[in-house]
Amino acid sequence: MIELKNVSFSYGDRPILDNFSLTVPNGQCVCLKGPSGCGKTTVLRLVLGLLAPDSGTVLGAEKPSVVFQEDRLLNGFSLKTNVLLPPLTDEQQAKALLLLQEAGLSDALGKKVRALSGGMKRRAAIVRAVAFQGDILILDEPFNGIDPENKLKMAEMIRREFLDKGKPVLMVSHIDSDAELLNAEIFNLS
Amino acid sequence: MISTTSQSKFRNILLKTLKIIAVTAFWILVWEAVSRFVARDNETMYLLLPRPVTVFETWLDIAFTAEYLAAVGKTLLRVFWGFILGVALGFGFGVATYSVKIVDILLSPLLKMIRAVPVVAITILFFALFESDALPTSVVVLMVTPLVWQTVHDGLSAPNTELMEMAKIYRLSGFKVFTYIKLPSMLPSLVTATVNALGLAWKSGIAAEVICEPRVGLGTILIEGKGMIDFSSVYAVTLTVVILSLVIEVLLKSLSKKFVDLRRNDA
Repeated sequence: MIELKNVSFSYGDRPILDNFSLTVPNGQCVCLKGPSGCGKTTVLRLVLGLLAPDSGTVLGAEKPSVVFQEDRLLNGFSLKTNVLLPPLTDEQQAKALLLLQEAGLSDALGKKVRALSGGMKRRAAIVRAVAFQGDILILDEPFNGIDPENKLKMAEMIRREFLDKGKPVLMVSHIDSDAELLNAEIFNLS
Repeated sequence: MISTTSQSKFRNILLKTLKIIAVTAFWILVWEAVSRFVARDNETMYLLLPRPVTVFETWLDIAFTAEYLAAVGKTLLRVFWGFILGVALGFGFGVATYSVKIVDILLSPLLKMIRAVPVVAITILFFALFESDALPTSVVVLMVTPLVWQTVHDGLSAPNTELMEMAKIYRLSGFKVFTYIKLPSMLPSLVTATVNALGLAWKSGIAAEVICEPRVGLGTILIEGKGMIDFSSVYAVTLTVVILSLVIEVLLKSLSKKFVDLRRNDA
């Protein structure tokens, strides 16, 4: 479960969250929506432990998986190196290669990330997150730049590896259809 | 039929070459004019500022003699070893001061101080400690090390927030963070610093040779030329140093460009 209870957070003098609460039950997906600057990314960063709340409690996970808004891949290294870079067991590494195949990236394993298209990089970032097998999944605009056919594949992968296994997913997306792909409950921040 | 891209590439190379020739010719003409001006009332002034053709003739006379080539070889070796050791030490110190706080506190002020000391001062200080053959190498090490250290230390310390957050969440080990994130982001500035250090290595190595006068070396030929008021050979040796420096710099830049391009993490 992901839970934020009465969380307040400010960047300096600028309040972002005020007594904010949110629960994402296990096996479910919540999509945060709202105008720019309303605190969506701040919520994600609090759950990831990259920020500490000024007050309130945040229940995330010891081991989160994340797809950042920026791919945050290592451009000078190969796709395969990037996906296998986190500490994975042999079994997890073998699974990662299968996931790359499922994502349609088998032919690009040896290519440097900087040589890949935006959509391919996005898929690689998703595979990295899925292969890491975190206890929760955080998605920030996960399907940006991915064509409709591959979006379906990646959504199916996320559903199977996280939601169907009872793990919670928290996402941010401006695109309603992307939230629908994961049957996400919409939560409006204003 | 030659493709448009090849034609364009050839034209660019030709233009670049013509530019280099034109600029070189300009400065040679300026040199010729200044030399004639200096010696306009007294031809012995040509000894102080010989004409370009005189320098080139002197260079041709001496450049391919066994003695001169031996001097070039010796100087190259001294500067080369000093440069390599300096880069290795600089890199090692950079990693050490970045990684261990107490090492940073103790070593950084010392390295900054060494960087500020003039070449000549270090050479004279070392004169008493080292024999003349080892002295130039030691001076080069001392000149190059702080320059490389500063670049490595600053490069490793530079924040790379997005990738570091990714590394934290994906639990990348310190070794992986260093190899896959820190080192590639530091490489471009390290290459620049290394190329700059090479120029410094040449100047300081030959300056040290001038002071300590090893048995065989370009610096020794320089000081002997001055002693015999044979400035043509001084200029000829300088020409050799400049040519060697340019060739090595071009080689180093093209080698490192290939390596840096392979490993850079920026898009």
